[in-house]
Amino acid sequence: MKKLFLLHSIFLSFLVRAQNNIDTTIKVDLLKAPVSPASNLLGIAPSDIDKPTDVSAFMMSLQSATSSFTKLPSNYAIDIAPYWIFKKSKKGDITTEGFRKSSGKDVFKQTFVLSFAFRNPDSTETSLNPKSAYGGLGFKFSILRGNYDNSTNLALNKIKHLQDIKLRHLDSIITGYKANVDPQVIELRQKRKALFRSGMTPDEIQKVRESDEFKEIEEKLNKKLLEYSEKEKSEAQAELDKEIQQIASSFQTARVGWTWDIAGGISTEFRNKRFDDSKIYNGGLWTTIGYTDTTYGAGLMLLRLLHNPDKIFAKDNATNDIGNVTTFDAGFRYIYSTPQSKFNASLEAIYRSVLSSNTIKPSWRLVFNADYAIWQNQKLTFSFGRNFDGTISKDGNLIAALTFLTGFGNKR
Amino acid sequence: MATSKKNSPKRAKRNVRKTSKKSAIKKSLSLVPSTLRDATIQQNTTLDTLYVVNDSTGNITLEVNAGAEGQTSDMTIKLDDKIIAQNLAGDFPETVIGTNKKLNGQKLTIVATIADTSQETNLTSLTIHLKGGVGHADFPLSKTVDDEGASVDYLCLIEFFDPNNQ
Repeated sequence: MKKLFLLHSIFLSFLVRAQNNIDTTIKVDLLKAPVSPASNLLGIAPSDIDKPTDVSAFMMSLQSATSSFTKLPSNYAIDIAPYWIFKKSKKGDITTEGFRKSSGKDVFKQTFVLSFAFRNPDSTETSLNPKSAYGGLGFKFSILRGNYDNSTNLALNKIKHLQDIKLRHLDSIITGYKANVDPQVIELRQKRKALFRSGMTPDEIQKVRESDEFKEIEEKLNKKLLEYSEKEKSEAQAELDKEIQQIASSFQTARVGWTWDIAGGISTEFRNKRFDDSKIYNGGLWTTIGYTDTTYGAGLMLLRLLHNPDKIFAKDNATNDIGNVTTFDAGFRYIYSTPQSKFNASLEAIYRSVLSSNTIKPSWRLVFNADYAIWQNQKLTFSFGRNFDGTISKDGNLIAALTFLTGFGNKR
Repeated sequence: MATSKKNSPKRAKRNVRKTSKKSAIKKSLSLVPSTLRDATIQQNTTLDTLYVVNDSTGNITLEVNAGAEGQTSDMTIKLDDKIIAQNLAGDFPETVIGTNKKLNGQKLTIVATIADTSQETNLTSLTIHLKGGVGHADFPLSKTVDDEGASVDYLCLIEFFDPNNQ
């Protein structure tokens, strides 16, 4: 009986897998802007891209790739966020309050990433000329990054409310310390002031500030203030800390509203590995505009202009054997999906064309997908649309276009 | 098998990322000014200091930056009993708080609390910038929390002091 059940299960699982293999969606993701434009243009895998977080890591990365600056790297890609790496102080407001802004010069600076890539292919390389070397330069930034969603705002408001109460305690502590009559504190303050004489020049004042004696007094006073605050710390403060920690420890930011990202890059082929003999190898410009709403779903528009791409999507994703062509791809996707909702729907459209050649005609595809979860693991799906070749597609056979999917597991 | 939120793989990954960033901060210490380096090592959260002024009518400006990336701060700033900013989330932008002459003898207090809401780092920091007196002064304070979501309180007292008019 057990064997029969096992065979039955295997048979059913094949059936389910076969149904799952019916791909009724279009992968609009292929139009998605690359994470690192320069390495994307030269075909370097995202896992091979160095992303240093500070100057020393950047130098280490460069040193390692060039064998201590003695040779050109063979395969090297790096993404640099100048704002975060090189600006050590006064970065602007980088707290959750500063990150609240969806647009502005801070958003541009914080999201701006430069990407560099270099490839020195060997004889095993098939897509690149092993006699040449390739260099790529790219950029990426956001113009709009969206606003915090309701749950993010709610968590921040709760933390703010608790912090406001806490500040009242801290304010009373510092007020008490300001009027401190501890003889040691008074003596230290007097000694500190006595280090400065009347008629001192700014340089002399600076020397006093840098002196060991001054620093020693300051250190003692800082310690006194710390001791005072710890002594005055109330149970209410500790309770507030706990409440804040409960919210802060699981805090995550999520954004809704308009988003707009731009990325671009260009790569050069250095013939015979000579830097005075070069030509443009390929280039690209990507932009993604989206709107996310917690009630009505999300819409995403993707535009891509490529010069001399590896694949020509308008030619059924065929390898580019034409040469220097410029292609334009556009995609739109609307997704309706809410948490815990049984009904999900999406509308996807893609337009593909070759701008610099009349031999390949532009084509487009439009598909509507919807699914409804009857139970856990069991879904009714519906798909209807137009293919690139102009034919109308409808998947499923119940009333022409419904598919019933089922899976194993508890209904829960 | 149920995985508790505290020990979830996602949280573990986040902690690893935070620790590596923390290490990166320590690694890059040689590149930051000595004052900031000392402050980072010492983990100062209190400040009792002087800012030297002169008898001119030149303006003095104050700016306070909270950090690090993605943390949530709240601060109150007072000049003697006058409130300059109350329950301010985020940074206090560069603002004129008075002239050298007027500020002599007055005390500036800054209290701030910073909660660790960042997914990138456990470092919290508060940097006070004063300009317009005898030289510029930057007072960097910082502390790295051990526990996820913990808060750090900063208490600062700065007295404006003119050695020529004591």
